[in-house]
Amino acid sequence: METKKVEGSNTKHKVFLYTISTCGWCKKTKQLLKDKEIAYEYIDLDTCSKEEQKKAIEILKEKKNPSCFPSNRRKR
Amino acid sequence: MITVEEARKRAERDALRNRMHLCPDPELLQELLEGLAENEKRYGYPSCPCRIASGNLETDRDILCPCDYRDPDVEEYGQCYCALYVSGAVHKGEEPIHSIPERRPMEKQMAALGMGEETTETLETGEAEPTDRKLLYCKQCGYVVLRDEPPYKCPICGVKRELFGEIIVREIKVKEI
Repeated sequence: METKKVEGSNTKHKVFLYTISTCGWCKKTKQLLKDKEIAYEYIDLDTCSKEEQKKAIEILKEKKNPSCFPSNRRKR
Repeated sequence: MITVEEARKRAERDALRNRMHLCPDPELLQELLEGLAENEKRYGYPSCPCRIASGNLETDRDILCPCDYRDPDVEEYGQCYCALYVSGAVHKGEEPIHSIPERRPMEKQMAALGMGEETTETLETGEAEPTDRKLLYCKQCGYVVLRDEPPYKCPICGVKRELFGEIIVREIKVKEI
Protein backbone atom coordinates (compact mmCIF):
# COMPACT_ATOMS: atom_id res chain seq x y z
CA MET A 1 0.00 0.00 0.00
CA GLU A 2 1.14 3.52 -0.74
CA THR A 3 1.11 4.53 2.90
CA LYS A 4 2.72 7.57 4.49
CA LYS A 5 4.10 7.74 7.99
CA VAL A 6 3.85 10.70 10.34
CA GLU A 7 6.13 10.60 13.34
CA GLY A 8 4.96 11.52 16.84
CA SER A 9 6.07 11.04 20.42
CA ASN A 10 2.90 9.12 21.32
CA THR A 11 3.23 5.62 19.87
CA LYS A 12 0.99 3.88 22.40
CA HIS A 13 -1.58 2.91 19.74
CA LYS A 14 -1.12 1.94 16.14
CA VAL A 15 -3.19 4.44 14.22
CA PHE A 16 -3.95 3.94 10.54
CA LEU A 17 -6.17 6.32 8.58
CA TYR A 18 -7.83 6.00 5.21
CA THR A 19 -8.19 9.50 3.84
CA ILE A 20 -8.89 11.64 0.79
CA SER A 21 -6.21 14.24 0.04
CA THR A 22 -8.71 16.94 -0.97
CA CYS A 23 -11.04 16.45 1.99
CA GLY A 24 -11.14 19.17 4.65
CA TRP A 25 -12.33 16.74 7.34
CA CYS A 26 -9.47 14.34 6.61
CA LYS A 27 -7.02 17.25 6.86
CA LYS A 28 -8.54 18.27 10.19
CA THR A 29 -8.12 14.72 11.52
CA LYS A 30 -4.48 14.58 10.40
CA GLN A 31 -3.86 17.96 12.05
CA LEU A 32 -5.49 16.82 15.30
CA LEU A 33 -3.25 13.74 15.49
CA LYS A 34 -0.21 15.91 14.71
CA ASP A 35 -1.17 18.44 17.41
CA LYS A 36 -1.54 15.60 19.92
CA GLU A 37 1.83 14.23 18.73
CA ILE A 38 0.29 10.87 17.94
CA ALA A 39 2.30 8.80 15.46
CA TYR A 40 0.13 7.54 12.61
CA GLU A 41 0.10 6.14 9.12
CA TYR A 42 -2.29 7.06 6.36
CA ILE A 43 -3.16 6.40 2.77
CA ASP A 44 -4.81 8.98 0.50
CA LEU A 45 -7.22 6.85 -1.49
CA ASP A 46 -7.88 9.44 -4.21
CA THR A 47 -4.25 9.53 -5.25
CA CYS A 48 -3.49 5.80 -5.13
CA SER A 49 -4.19 3.19 -7.80
CA LYS A 50 -7.63 1.64 -8.39
CA GLU A 51 -6.25 -1.68 -7.11
CA GLU A 52 -5.14 -0.03 -3.85
CA GLN A 53 -8.56 1.61 -3.53
CA LYS A 54 -10.30 -1.73 -3.95
CA LYS A 55 -8.00 -3.40 -1.41
CA ALA A 56 -8.76 -0.68 1.13
CA ILE A 57 -12.52 -0.85 0.58
CA GLU A 58 -12.43 -4.64 1.03
CA ILE A 59 -10.79 -4.04 4.43
CA LEU A 60 -13.30 -1.32 5.30
CA LYS A 61 -16.32 -3.39 4.27
CA GLU A 62 -16.86 -4.40 7.87
CA LYS A 63 -18.05 -0.85 8.43
CA LYS A 64 -21.58 0.34 7.76
CA ASN A 65 -20.38 2.78 5.15
CA PRO A 66 -16.98 1.72 3.79
CA SER A 67 -16.43 4.71 1.54
CA CYS A 68 -16.83 7.52 4.08
CA PHE A 69 -13.61 9.22 5.08
CA PRO A 70 -11.59 9.75 7.16
CA SER A 71 -11.83 6.17 8.33
CA ASN A 72 -9.63 4.23 10.69
CA ARG A 73 -8.57 0.62 10.66
CA ARG A 74 -9.73 -1.40 13.62
CA LYS A 75 -7.65 -4.50 13.09
CA ARG A 76 -4.02 -4.73 12.16
CA MET B 1 -8.95 24.99 -14.74
CA ILE B 2 -9.95 27.35 -11.95
CA THR B 3 -8.16 29.04 -9.07
CA VAL B 4 -9.20 28.73 -5.44
CA GLU B 5 -10.53 32.30 -5.58
CA GLU B 6 -12.66 31.49 -8.61
CA ALA B 7 -13.99 28.42 -6.81
CA ARG B 8 -14.83 30.66 -3.84
CA LYS B 9 -16.70 33.20 -6.00
CA ARG B 10 -18.62 30.45 -7.78
CA ALA B 11 -19.62 28.89 -4.44
CA GLU B 12 -20.59 32.29 -3.00
CA ARG B 13 -22.83 33.01 -5.99
CA ASP B 14 -24.45 29.61 -5.72
CA ALA B 15 -24.98 29.92 -1.97
CA LEU B 16 -26.64 33.32 -2.43
CA ARG B 17 -28.91 32.04 -5.18
CA ASN B 18 -30.00 29.08 -3.06
CA ARG B 19 -30.43 31.05 0.18
CA MET B 20 -27.53 29.21 1.81
CA HIS B 21 -24.17 30.22 3.26
CA LEU B 22 -20.62 28.97 2.95
CA CYS B 23 -18.82 27.09 5.72
CA PRO B 24 -18.34 29.45 8.71
CA ASP B 25 -14.97 27.87 9.61
CA PRO B 26 -12.53 29.87 7.42
CA GLU B 27 -9.80 27.20 7.60
CA LEU B 28 -12.13 24.36 6.62
CA LEU B 29 -13.68 26.52 3.89
CA GLN B 30 -10.26 27.26 2.40
CA GLU B 31 -9.36 23.56 2.43
CA LEU B 32 -12.63 22.57 0.77
CA LEU B 33 -12.17 25.21 -1.96
CA GLU B 34 -8.59 24.06 -2.52
CA GLY B 35 -9.90 20.50 -2.82
CA LEU B 36 -12.49 21.59 -5.39
CA ALA B 37 -9.89 23.45 -7.45
CA GLU B 38 -7.59 20.40 -7.25
CA ASN B 39 -10.37 18.06 -8.42
CA GLU B 40 -11.18 20.36 -11.32
CA LYS B 41 -7.50 20.29 -12.30
CA ARG B 42 -7.34 16.52 -11.85
CA TYR B 43 -10.61 15.41 -13.48
CA GLY B 44 -11.72 18.44 -15.46
CA TYR B 45 -14.77 18.98 -13.24
CA PRO B 46 -15.29 20.04 -9.61
CA SER B 47 -16.28 16.79 -7.92
CA CYS B 48 -16.93 16.82 -4.18
CA PRO B 49 -13.62 17.16 -2.28
CA CYS B 50 -14.77 14.71 0.40
CA ARG B 51 -15.74 11.84 -1.88
CA ILE B 52 -13.69 9.58 -4.13
CA ALA B 53 -14.33 10.41 -7.78
CA SER B 54 -14.01 7.79 -10.50
CA GLY B 55 -12.70 10.19 -13.12
CA ASN B 56 -15.62 9.20 -15.35
CA LEU B 57 -17.98 12.16 -15.67
CA GLU B 58 -21.13 10.05 -16.06
CA THR B 59 -20.36 8.12 -12.86
CA ASP B 60 -19.42 11.27 -10.96
CA ARG B 61 -22.20 13.53 -12.24
CA ASP B 62 -24.20 13.33 -8.99
CA ILE B 63 -21.21 14.49 -6.92
CA LEU B 64 -20.29 17.54 -9.01
CA CYS B 65 -20.35 20.41 -6.55
CA PRO B 66 -23.03 21.45 -5.70
CA CYS B 67 -23.90 17.77 -5.54
CA ASP B 68 -27.37 16.28 -5.95
CA TYR B 69 -27.50 15.62 -2.20
CA ARG B 70 -26.71 19.16 -1.03
CA ASP B 71 -30.23 20.55 -0.87
CA PRO B 72 -31.81 17.72 1.15
CA ASP B 73 -28.72 17.59 3.41
CA VAL B 74 -28.79 21.33 4.11
CA GLU B 75 -32.49 21.09 4.82
CA GLU B 76 -32.20 18.05 7.12
CA TYR B 77 -28.80 18.55 8.76
CA GLY B 78 -28.08 22.24 8.19
CA GLN B 79 -25.06 21.46 6.00
CA CYS B 80 -24.01 19.47 2.97
CA TYR B 81 -21.83 16.36 3.25
CA CYS B 82 -18.50 18.23 3.11
CA ALA B 83 -19.94 21.32 4.91
CA LEU B 84 -19.10 23.75 2.09
CA TYR B 85 -22.74 24.85 2.07
CA VAL B 86 -24.57 25.46 5.33
CA SER B 87 -27.92 26.79 6.55
CA GLY B 88 -28.45 30.19 8.13
CA ALA B 89 -28.57 28.64 11.63
CA VAL B 90 -25.18 26.94 11.16
CA HIS B 91 -23.73 30.10 9.67
CA LYS B 92 -24.85 32.12 12.71
CA GLY B 93 -23.31 29.52 15.03
CA GLU B 94 -26.67 28.42 16.47
CA GLU B 95 -25.96 24.88 15.26
CA PRO B 96 -22.52 23.25 14.97
CA ILE B 97 -20.89 21.83 11.84
CA HIS B 98 -20.65 18.09 12.26
CA SER B 99 -20.27 14.80 10.48
CA ILE B 100 -23.46 13.80 8.67
CA PRO B 101 -24.52 10.49 7.09
CA GLU B 102 -23.71 9.87 3.43
CA ARG B 103 -26.85 10.24 1.30
CA ARG B 104 -25.22 9.05 -1.91
CA PRO B 105 -26.56 5.55 -2.62
CA MET B 106 -24.10 2.72 -1.89
CA GLU B 107 -24.31 1.44 -5.50
CA LYS B 108 -23.05 4.80 -6.74
CA GLN B 109 -20.27 4.88 -4.14
CA MET B 110 -19.15 1.41 -5.17
CA ALA B 111 -19.45 2.25 -8.88
CA ALA B 112 -17.08 5.20 -8.35
CA LEU B 113 -14.55 2.72 -6.97
CA GLY B 114 -15.06 0.36 -9.89
CA MET B 115 -16.67 -2.13 -7.53
CA GLY B 116 -20.23 -1.91 -8.76
CA GLU B 117 -21.33 -4.94 -10.73
CA GLU B 118 -23.18 -3.02 -13.40
CA THR B 119 -20.79 -0.21 -13.96
CA THR B 120 -17.44 -2.03 -13.89
CA GLU B 121 -17.66 -2.57 -17.61
CA THR B 122 -18.59 1.04 -18.15
CA LEU B 123 -15.55 2.20 -16.25
CA GLU B 124 -13.23 -0.10 -18.11
CA THR B 125 -14.45 0.83 -21.53
CA GLY B 126 -14.71 4.49 -20.62
CA GLU B 127 -18.08 4.67 -22.31
CA ALA B 128 -20.90 6.64 -20.86
CA GLU B 129 -23.53 4.69 -18.97
CA PRO B 130 -26.93 5.04 -20.63
CA THR B 131 -29.14 7.22 -18.49
CA ASP B 132 -32.83 8.00 -18.27
CA ARG B 133 -32.24 11.70 -18.51
CA LYS B 134 -35.19 13.76 -19.60
CA LEU B 135 -36.02 17.39 -20.11
CA LEU B 136 -37.72 18.75 -17.01
CA TYR B 137 -39.08 22.22 -16.37
CA CYS B 138 -40.11 24.22 -13.34
CA LYS B 139 -43.80 25.00 -13.62
CA GLN B 140 -43.32 28.16 -11.57
CA CYS B 141 -40.40 29.93 -13.27
CA GLY B 142 -39.79 27.94 -16.45
CA TYR B 143 -36.25 26.74 -15.57
CA VAL B 144 -35.36 23.78 -17.81
CA VAL B 145 -32.91 21.03 -16.88
CA LEU B 146 -31.77 17.71 -18.40
CA ARG B 147 -31.62 15.15 -15.58
CA ASP B 148 -32.84 11.70 -14.50
CA GLU B 149 -35.01 13.21 -11.80
CA PRO B 150 -36.04 16.77 -10.92
CA PRO B 151 -33.70 18.64 -8.57
CA TYR B 152 -34.62 18.69 -4.87
CA LYS B 153 -35.77 22.24 -5.43
CA CYS B 154 -35.57 24.70 -8.30
CA PRO B 155 -32.17 26.47 -8.23
CA ILE B 156 -33.77 29.61 -9.68
CA CYS B 157 -37.00 30.18 -7.74
CA GLY B 158 -36.62 27.66 -4.91
CA VAL B 159 -39.88 25.80 -5.47
CA LYS B 160 -39.96 22.10 -4.45
CA ARG B 161 -39.39 19.24 -6.93
CA GLU B 162 -43.07 18.32 -7.04
CA LEU B 163 -43.62 21.38 -9.20
CA PHE B 164 -41.36 20.07 -11.96
CA GLY B 165 -42.91 18.58 -15.08
CA GLU B 166 -41.47 16.69 -18.02
CA ILE B 167 -41.20 18.19 -21.46
CA ILE B 168 -42.33 15.58 -23.95
CA VAL B 169 -40.71 16.11 -27.32
CA ARG B 170 -42.88 14.89 -30.16
CA GLU B 171 -42.42 15.02 -33.86
CA ILE B 172 -44.95 17.34 -35.37
CA LYS B 173 -46.02 16.68 -38.88
CA VAL B 174 -46.78 19.87 -40.72
CA LYS B 175 -49.55 19.62 -43.20
CA GLU B 176 -48.55 20.89 -46.57
CA ILE B 177 -50.82 23.55 -47.93
